[in-house]
Amino acid sequence: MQDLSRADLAEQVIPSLQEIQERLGYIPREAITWLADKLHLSEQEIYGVASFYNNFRFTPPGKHHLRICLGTACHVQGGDRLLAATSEKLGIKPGETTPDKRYSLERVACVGCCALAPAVVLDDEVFGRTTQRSLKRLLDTVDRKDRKAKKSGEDSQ
Amino acid sequence: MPSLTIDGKLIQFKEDGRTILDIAREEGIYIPTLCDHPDLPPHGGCRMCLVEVEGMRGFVTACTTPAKDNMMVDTTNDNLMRLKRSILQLLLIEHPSACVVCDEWNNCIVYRSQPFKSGLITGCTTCPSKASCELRDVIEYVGLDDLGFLPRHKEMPVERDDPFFDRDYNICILCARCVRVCDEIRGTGAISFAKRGHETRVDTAFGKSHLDSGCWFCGACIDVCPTGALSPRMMKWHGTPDEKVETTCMLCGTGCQIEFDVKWDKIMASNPGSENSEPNRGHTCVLGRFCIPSLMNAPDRLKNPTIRRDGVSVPVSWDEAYERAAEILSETAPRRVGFVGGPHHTTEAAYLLQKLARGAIGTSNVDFRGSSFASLVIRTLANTDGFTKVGTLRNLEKADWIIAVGGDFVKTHQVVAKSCYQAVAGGAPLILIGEAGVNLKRWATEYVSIKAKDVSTILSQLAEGEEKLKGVKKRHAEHIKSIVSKGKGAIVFGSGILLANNPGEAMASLLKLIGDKGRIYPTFDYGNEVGAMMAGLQSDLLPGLTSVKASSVRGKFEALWGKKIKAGLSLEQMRMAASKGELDVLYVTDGSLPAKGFKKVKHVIYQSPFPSAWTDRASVILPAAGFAEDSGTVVNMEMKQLKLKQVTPPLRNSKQDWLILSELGRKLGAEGFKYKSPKKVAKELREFTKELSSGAIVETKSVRKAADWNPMYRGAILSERIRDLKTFIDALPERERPLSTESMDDFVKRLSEQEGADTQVKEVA
Repeated sequence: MQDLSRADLAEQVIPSLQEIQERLGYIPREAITWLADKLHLSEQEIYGVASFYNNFRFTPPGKHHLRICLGTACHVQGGDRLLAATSEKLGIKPGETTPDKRYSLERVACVGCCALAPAVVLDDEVFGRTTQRSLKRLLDTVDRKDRKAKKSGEDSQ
Repeated sequence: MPSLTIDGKLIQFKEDGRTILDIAREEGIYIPTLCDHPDLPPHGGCRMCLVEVEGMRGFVTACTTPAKDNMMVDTTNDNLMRLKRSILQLLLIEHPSACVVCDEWNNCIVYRSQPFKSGLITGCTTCPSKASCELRDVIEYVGLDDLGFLPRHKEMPVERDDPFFDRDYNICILCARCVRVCDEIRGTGAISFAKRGHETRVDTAFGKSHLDSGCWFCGACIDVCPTGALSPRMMKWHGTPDEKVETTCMLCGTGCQIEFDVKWDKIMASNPGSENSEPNRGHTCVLGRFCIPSLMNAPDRLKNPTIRRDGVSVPVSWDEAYERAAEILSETAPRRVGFVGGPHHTTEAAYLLQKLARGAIGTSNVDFRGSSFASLVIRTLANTDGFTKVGTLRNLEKADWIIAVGGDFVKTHQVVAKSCYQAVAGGAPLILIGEAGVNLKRWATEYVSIKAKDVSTILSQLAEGEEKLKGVKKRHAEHIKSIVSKGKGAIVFGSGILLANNPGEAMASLLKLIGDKGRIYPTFDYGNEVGAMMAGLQSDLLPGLTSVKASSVRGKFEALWGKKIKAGLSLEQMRMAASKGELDVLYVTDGSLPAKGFKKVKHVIYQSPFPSAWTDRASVILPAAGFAEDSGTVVNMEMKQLKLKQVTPPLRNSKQDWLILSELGRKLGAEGFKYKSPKKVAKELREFTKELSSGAIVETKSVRKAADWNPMYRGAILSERIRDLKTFIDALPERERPLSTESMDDFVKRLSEQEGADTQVKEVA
């Protein structure tokens, strides 16, 4: 990045943030400092951009990333109630990660599955027509699978 | 000539990219604005300047729409005003908007311009704004008298943890002026908009303190804030000042024009001078903006002349003090008397000090503290006829390339840094040589990281056009050489070049490198180093930078003053002489002079506004006026003569330097000390400084000095007196870190190792 002009460097802010988030799962504080040095900008300029876009997160994601859609169709179909209930069940607010680092919760605006509203995305897999009950079942299944995997992992050692 | 119509008025104009707003303002047509500021590029954020242009869809912002031929512009129709009222109502949801419907509104208008803050009378605790609030002006113009929406107070605590200013973001209207001035004008970017929507606020990264965010506390954000969100902590309670006076700031060599708020004959606040005043054009630094009132109103200022009787300092009348000083001076052999001035005198006072030494006493033992850098620069320039090569800050903004060397002027000369950044922002490449702070590193196109002592080597290699540059990779060396080979250059250099192996060579090389087209910018650390040099406050130089060895000129002075003139002792030589007991009397006018080595001196005559280590040993203390109480001229880093205007009367019994020196001269019975005003002194001095290159071929001295930034003024160490400044200076080493050169892969790897095993790291192909 050394030979780029100031304007070229400034254009690198969003692509660089995206790459960091893709590789680390979130934007750590240190990354802002590092990127500011690299792009010859101040930390505030980078932070301003990163905090503007909802897509960038400053906390590490959990093992499972749960996204609840609140786009128009999902909202009408009860997405907000779904979010509130899940938030209560996991004990975290949207944008946070559970203390045991198993789940992180995020509210998103439209995942493109309006016909299946309300939609929930768990680890990049879309589940349509979700209800509070089906979401609970889904999370229970994930928990069970994880426990099993952990157990077999311990057995094989 | 193209023409347009605004509100039915036909206006002819030149089509040169100026906006509708610019044209309207020139014609005296008021269009309300909030985010617009003359210093800043158009933003188009507040929507208050909306106008209707025939043929254009919807409403357009006057501040961003270039004026075109045949435009029909309407600024006041009913639709527009209704729209503006609604926008203002929306904006006021998050401003403590009770102001608009407050019962005390009329009272507030009356008391705002009174000596006391309206808040004291009306009981208002929400707004620290001074006499004018731009938001209020706009509200009155568009005629808003109800809120329309339920207010939503942001309930953010007033931020008071950082030095110098308070920030109350509850009344911030997000006009972005502070963010833009910090980023686009000063090049610091210490603040930015964080988050978005109704959560948007001006903030630092992760809400850290301004000390950590890289803020230089230059105060530019306060100066542009249209509301009371940002306010200088120590200067907001005195209400409307009795008068505002513009004068020159003497705390560094930039020579900024500062406007003081004066009330009850005291300096209450200092603000940047008008935006048309060179060299700073409406900008200042942390010292000029926040430190001068505390300095000038310091409770421990010297107020009465005193003399020492039986080991005790006793206040006496001026006459007695002069009597005693004259007695001490005349009973000692001239060669055993030394005069040490300072870099903070007016040129007139510096001239009189050396005239007192040479003309009244008959010794050339004169020098001033902190003269090493000025001595190197001024002597080299005089020897090479180089004064025309010194540029103005306005020139610096238009440079094609810039070399920065010998110190971090972002810290020490924030106004010079602003001009430098303006050039960098305009695309001029910056080459940074040697150690420097984080801002310069960020702005630099090429950064040559070398030790301070190698600076002279690199500069001479560059000047000689050599193939290789010591310690620089070939690719970068070629890049640097291609940059400096064309266009008008600028070299900004500071006293750090004294640390080079050969400062004289460094100075000569940078003059050679800059050629005839480019300009140099020496950043002098103190107020009037150049003036002191020109006034002859040097043991081997007469006024006008003439060597004492030049017999024809010396003859003129000898005839005028009636005393023989020989080369005397410089400061270091005086120190040596004093330690051997060969110096009996020392006349000190700068308390910051280290007392080391002067123990054996029998009598000290101390003339300064501030007490220092010298007060305890002085036989005579002559309390001098501070620079805001003095008048005369100073010469700044641009080699321009600037006026110093008397803002307040001298504190208590103190007197201006020129007055003390001429009265003392008369007391000594010397001829030619009858001056009525500093103007008369200046007139006399001008005779000698007409030509500034009469062959002062003098060996340049190589003196090393620490490059630490420690602002001082005649015995007053500013950071010891101003707690906020100390907090700020103490925090500075934290930000002096090298820019990271880690690649993305290394960084990600290091971080994921730190985080431990439970974080998943996805590989990217």
